[in-house]
Amino acid sequence: MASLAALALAPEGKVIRVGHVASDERALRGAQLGAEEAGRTAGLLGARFELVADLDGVMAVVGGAELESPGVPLLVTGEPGPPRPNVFHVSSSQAERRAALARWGGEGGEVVDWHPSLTRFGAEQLNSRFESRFGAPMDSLAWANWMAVKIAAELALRAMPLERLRFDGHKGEPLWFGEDHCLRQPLYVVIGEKVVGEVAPE
Amino acid sequence: MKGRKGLKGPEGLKGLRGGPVPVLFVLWVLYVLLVLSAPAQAAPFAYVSNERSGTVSVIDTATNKVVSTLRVGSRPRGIQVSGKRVFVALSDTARNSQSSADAIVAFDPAGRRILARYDAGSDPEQFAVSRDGSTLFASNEDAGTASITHQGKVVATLIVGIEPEGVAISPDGRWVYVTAETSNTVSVIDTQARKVVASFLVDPRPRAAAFSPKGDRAYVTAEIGGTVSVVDTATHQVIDVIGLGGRAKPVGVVASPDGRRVYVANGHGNSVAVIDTAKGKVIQTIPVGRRPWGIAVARDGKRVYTANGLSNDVSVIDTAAGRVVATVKVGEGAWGIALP
Repeated sequence: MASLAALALAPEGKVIRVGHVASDERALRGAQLGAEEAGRTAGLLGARFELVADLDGVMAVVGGAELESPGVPLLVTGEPGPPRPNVFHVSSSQAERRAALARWGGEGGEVVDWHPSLTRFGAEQLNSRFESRFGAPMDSLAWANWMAVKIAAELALRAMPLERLRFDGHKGEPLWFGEDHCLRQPLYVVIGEKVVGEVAPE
Repeated sequence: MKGRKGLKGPEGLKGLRGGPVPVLFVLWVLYVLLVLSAPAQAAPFAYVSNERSGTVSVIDTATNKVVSTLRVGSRPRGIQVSGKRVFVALSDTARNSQSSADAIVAFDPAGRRILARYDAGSDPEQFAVSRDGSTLFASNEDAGTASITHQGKVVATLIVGIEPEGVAISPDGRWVYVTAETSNTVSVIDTQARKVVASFLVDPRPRAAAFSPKGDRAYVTAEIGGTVSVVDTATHQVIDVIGLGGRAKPVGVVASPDGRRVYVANGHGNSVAVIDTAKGKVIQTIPVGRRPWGIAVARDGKRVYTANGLSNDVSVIDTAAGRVVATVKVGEGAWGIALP
């Protein structure tokens, strides 16, 4: 947890460089939107935000669990890997999704981190911005990359203890990292193309 | 008939003893009768924007009854009273676009007709009005900007955070604060320079801001943070953060006229939090209708009103008793509420 706190610094005049390794087009798009919005926020606060493919000199890395990021936090999108001290998981794991489906208790369905039909708590606006920007709906992987970039930016811009940090992922509840370094977040049960339920984190 | 000064005429007025009645006495009697028979000063109206029905409901606060409903246009949300006009922001339903439906309209206090229509940029959501009524400061939800409209024309479009919403103007008219839900920022507009001169971070998903009556403090709600940030307006820095606890999802906020209390509409928490500003903490939570977002306080501080978007009604709170004393049905999707 302490390694995430190391990102926190006073924003003025700072350049926040975050490395991104995209697994596919959806991940790249989510990260790009996140970077554009982080850039706007950083600019208002007198800082600059850069999303780069070169991992040298970055303050954090966003990408898959297979990556190595010596000395800087890795924010994992996609299926989580084994626990490591500086690794934090933004996407839910298969095990978490199975457990969420069991807690929901209904018949059928699959569990996702995000759905393009979500509307509450700014979800409609986020979905709309993504679709307007890329001409495609925002899915779970795109959302996770957008969220990971936002988390990295927020940590760099706020000089706050990590224990107090909560993130808004447009899910209506604050998101935070648990002791296991997994993001505590509501998940959604989908049948066909329709969201039929929401499952709170344990 | 001559004699002491008195009313004279064909018959004149005569006192009990038959003498003339002094003019001054008669005038005094007439004055007293006039004062006693004059109607009591009318209680003000409360104005509620109904986002889904496209109307504004006008409530007589003396009777807590709707006295008129005015169809104003698409998605009315932010609403303000300034002088003898009531202003309400309208937006089209399309995302990320500007159309002729986007505007701020002004209507008469009785809620009978629209008087004027002003360009306020794309998707105006909340806004503030300058003290002289000549200038509007509006948040443009989808564009990430704030527009300044002076005497009917947009004179500045300023970059603020992503998804701007809350707009508040300081009592002296010098500063306008604009919150941005996705950036978690408040941008400070210098109204004389018409520029953003500072921005600062607050807790996640800031929805609204309100200044204290003295203007030395501002209060910013964070819907996902569940907090109210207290801002020193001399430095534009957060000096305290007040947790609202429980299921609070704070949206609207307003300070009492004496500055001793701040009232927060808790959105999906279905309540109003009462903050003691001296103690810097919540001293009471009052259940109201479903999803209160807009909130307003009467000029004498005795009543607080919430616009409840899921129960389509207004809750009237007696601030001394600390409870709801009336519920007024309004249109669908009650969003904002304003009093003179």
